[in-house]
Amino acid sequence: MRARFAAVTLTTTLGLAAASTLVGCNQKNQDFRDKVRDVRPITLERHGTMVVEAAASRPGLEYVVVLNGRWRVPEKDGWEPRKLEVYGRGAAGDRVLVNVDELEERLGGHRRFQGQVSVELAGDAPRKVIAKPLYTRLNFFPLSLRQSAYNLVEDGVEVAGIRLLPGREGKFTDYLGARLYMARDKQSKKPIGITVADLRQAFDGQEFMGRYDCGNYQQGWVNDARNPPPLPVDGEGKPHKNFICQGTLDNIVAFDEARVLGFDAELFMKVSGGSRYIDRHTAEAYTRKAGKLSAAGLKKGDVIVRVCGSKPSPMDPAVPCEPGEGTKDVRSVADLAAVWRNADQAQVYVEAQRGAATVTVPLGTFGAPAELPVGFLLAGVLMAAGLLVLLPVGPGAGLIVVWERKVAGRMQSRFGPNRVGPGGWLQWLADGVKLIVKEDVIPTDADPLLFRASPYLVFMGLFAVFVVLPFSQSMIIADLDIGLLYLMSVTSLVVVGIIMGGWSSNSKWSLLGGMRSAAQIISYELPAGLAMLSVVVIAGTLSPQTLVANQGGSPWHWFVFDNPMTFACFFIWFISALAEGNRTPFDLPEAESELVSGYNTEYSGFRFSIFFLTEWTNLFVIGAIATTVFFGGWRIPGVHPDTMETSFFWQAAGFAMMMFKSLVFVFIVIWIRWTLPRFRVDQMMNMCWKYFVPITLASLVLVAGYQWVTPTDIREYVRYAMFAVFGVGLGGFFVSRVIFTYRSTKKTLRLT
Amino acid sequence: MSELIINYADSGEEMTLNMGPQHPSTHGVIRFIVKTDGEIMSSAEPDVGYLHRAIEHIAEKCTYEGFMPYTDRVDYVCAMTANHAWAAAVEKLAGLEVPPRGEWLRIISDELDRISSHCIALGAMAMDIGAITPFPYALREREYINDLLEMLCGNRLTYNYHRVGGVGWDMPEGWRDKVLRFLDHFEPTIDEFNRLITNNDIFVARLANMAPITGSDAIAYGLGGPNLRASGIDYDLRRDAPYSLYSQVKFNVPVGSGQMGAVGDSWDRFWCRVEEWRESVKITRQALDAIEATPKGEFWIHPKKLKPKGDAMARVEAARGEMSCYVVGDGSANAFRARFRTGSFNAMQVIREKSKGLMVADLVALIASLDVVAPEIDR
Repeated sequence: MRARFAAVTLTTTLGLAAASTLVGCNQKNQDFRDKVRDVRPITLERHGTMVVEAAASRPGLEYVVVLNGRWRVPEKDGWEPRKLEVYGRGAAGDRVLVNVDELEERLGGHRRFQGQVSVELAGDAPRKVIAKPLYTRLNFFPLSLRQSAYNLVEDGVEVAGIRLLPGREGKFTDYLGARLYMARDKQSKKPIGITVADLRQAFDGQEFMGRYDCGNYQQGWVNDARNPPPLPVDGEGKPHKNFICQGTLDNIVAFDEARVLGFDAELFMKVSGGSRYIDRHTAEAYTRKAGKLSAAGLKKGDVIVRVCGSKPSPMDPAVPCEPGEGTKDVRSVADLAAVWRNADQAQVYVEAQRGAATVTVPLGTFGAPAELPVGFLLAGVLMAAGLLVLLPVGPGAGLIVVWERKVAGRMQSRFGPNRVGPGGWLQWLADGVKLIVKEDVIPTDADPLLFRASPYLVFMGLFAVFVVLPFSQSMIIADLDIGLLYLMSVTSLVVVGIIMGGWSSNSKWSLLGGMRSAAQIISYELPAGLAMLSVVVIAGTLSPQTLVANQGGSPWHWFVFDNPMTFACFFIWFISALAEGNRTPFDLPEAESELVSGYNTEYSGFRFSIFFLTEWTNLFVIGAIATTVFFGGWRIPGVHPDTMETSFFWQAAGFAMMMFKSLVFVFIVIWIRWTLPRFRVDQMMNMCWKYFVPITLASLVLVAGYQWVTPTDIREYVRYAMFAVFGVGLGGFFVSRVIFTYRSTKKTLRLT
Repeated sequence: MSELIINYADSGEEMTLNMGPQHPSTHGVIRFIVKTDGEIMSSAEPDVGYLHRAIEHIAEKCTYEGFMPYTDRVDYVCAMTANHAWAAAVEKLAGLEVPPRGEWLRIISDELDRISSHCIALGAMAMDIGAITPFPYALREREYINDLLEMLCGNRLTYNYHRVGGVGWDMPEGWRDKVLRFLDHFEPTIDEFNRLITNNDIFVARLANMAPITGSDAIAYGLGGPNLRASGIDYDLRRDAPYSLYSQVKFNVPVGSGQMGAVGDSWDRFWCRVEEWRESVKITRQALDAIEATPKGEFWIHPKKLKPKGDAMARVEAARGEMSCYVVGDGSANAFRARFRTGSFNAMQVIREKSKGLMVADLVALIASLDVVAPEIDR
């Protein structure tokens, strides 16, 4: 063990040493980048680090970063000139890191900076400047989110990299790989377009040097420059482009050699860093890609005069980006930025004047630069999605609670809630408000972290299910290919939350409730999953929408009546769903007569209300899954899905159908709860493992065999027969029993 | 109690669960010290005494008649039989006669209150098993009885109706018809109740073969009433040691036969109480017929001077088994000593033995099936 550790340490040390040597070698040849390349982030917050990119910096050395410019002082509401020097530390990747907190002490709060940033080597004055100044705008310690967001937008957004905003002309834009200037008419001095300068061209060091290598052919001629060998030529007598062997082979290419072969002089000077030679090392270190403008085909000196689209204004909605009538001249960089923003995902065509000619260059779908950081957008999208789910679901669950209490009232010859709102239907609101304003008690001996986290898990586990519920043909958040698997997996989160709640409460009753639910929910996930698998075998898909589409509108085409096995599977699934949802007759985890209130005994206030909410939301989820998997979902008898797809009416009807079927199941679950007693824990487990799991496994095999062996038309007849026997026959018997029991119920007696 | 706690303090493997005195299903303030390994209990020690009010001592400080309201509190779920026990004991001690109308009114009120008490017992038992709906149905029927008894004596729970020498008031005009109407309504409701819960498969599975008490055990523990009869012992004080005018009515004594499992299991105890509803209805009907022949107004012979000497014991078939009252008089206006023997106290000791190896959920069902009521245990 120790030897291994020593070996690892040794290797690492050696590797680091080698790496630093290499970096050191490179440094020598990288003086051409002796300017501060970038300062980021634009918005600096407390305890943050300012990164100054300066190629000549080295890891471990001390530097002084000089901020020379004007500072905005909010107290005075004006700018004042000031030169600030702060210490920074060299870091790998050509960066100097500055601890911002030190700056804060000296600045004393929110400041904005405009000016030059340069880097000098720390030491006695005069210090050596290792990176020449770069004009930058910085925003220090913004006091509010709004302030920082405002500055982010104003100064251009780092995430997108584009800085094509007003006042930013002339600055090299990394995003486009060019410097853009305003072009003015020579006489009138009016702006006529945008001049493209400093195009960042591609430079492949290996390829560049390869063109000067002569390979084996040159063996023996290495140092005999006076008598060079004959060059291989192409058909036109010019030197073969892949075989250029001029000059000496000392791994150095001179400026003149490159010029002869048409290499861009400016690029050469840039790579060579002002010297007139490029060696292999420099070439390979400088390898880079072309800028976007360069890649698109724009050349240095082109004047962009038109960009497709009509009115380039950020206030305009997106317009189709096609060249034609309505195009306007582009007179400033802001115009270009605006068009680009509006033409999201569309081709942007640029008309440019190249000398006397006008060329049209497609800039490609680079995507519009974002105006806000991605984080803001994501947060917004998540919030919107969350609200979309929560807004209907919260009241929905509340209404189901009231409905359940009303149904329970009728079943127990009493009224149920009838005080709050019309007919008592706003009772959920009163209860919810009451729960929210109650004190959120966390028992002294509870594990506070787990205790707090538990409701979130329960909540997430259940509400994530809504993602794959097909409310109608088009109303589904995400029709996942693995929809049913997703459904099974996210609901498993609920049991984690319940066990956590039961355990962390540090109450014996809660613990017993948590243990019971662990045994119960995990056990019943098996038969529930297996029962659904039988249907999956028939449908051949896990996607909820496809499951629905594969069923017919008519009852005999529902999967529940597909064959005797699926019929049995439905009942097993339904019972398992009751068990997974802790509903009577499987409400053991919260059996109030035995365990006081089970796993949520110690919860109060809002945390309790989350358990409460998820429990009743689960009712709807049970109904919706039953409808989707076994009862034809949003399908309407006699209407083809293609017809439904194009019509708003049929979409709405499909939604109504789905809701109706789901609510019927919600009613059945409520009905069962107020009728049946509770199982004991061993009976509940016996039922699962001794009966449900074997039956569903057998059913899976039988269904697979049935699908394989039975011809299609026979299967169709089986569906009709199933519907006749089980749907009409058994259903009719059930209804007749209900009617008999209802009629034999004694009417209320009045004695007083 | 301290020994108990020390004995079970830490045996390592097991969890000590303190069930009660505040727990939703201990039917009042009863406490059990439960030792469990997961769900399975190794023991459940009943700890009684949380509702002790020294009622027997109060009896020594009141006059014989003045103690009557306190007897309501011996068993407030079935107060009439406690009234009856005290009245019968004092009458026996003083050698008083009760007019027939008084005796019939006692029987009617006893039986109505027995129905009402079983309503609570059965409804609460179903609720303890997890079925909530039977409870409101049982309570609905009990409300009718409360209404009827209020018309009779002005009270709905603690009646204070029986008197030494008779009953407090004659039945009001039209009351008999109302009772008959109620009985006509109630009898079919029993079938409805059976359909709802008694024969429910889950309910039977929970209770059948659960904590069966054999006949000899039941006798050894001194169980009484439905708990005794469920164990197959055909013994009912109303028939086998008739008091009041019970010798003049005909009724069956339901005896547990192990229909769903073993004789004397929890389901038998439930079923026995359901059948006792029917028998109580029968007895009430006969009493309402017989009371027509008795002269109106002759329901109470007021004892002129009540200073008896000697001792006497009266035994009454209460809803929770035999309730006997032993009185010693020393010739003064107060009893020298009074003693109540109640069914629930004896039932409690069975729980200690029968709970071994049961599950926590079964303990709740066992307590409910024995129909223990806290004030009757402690007095």
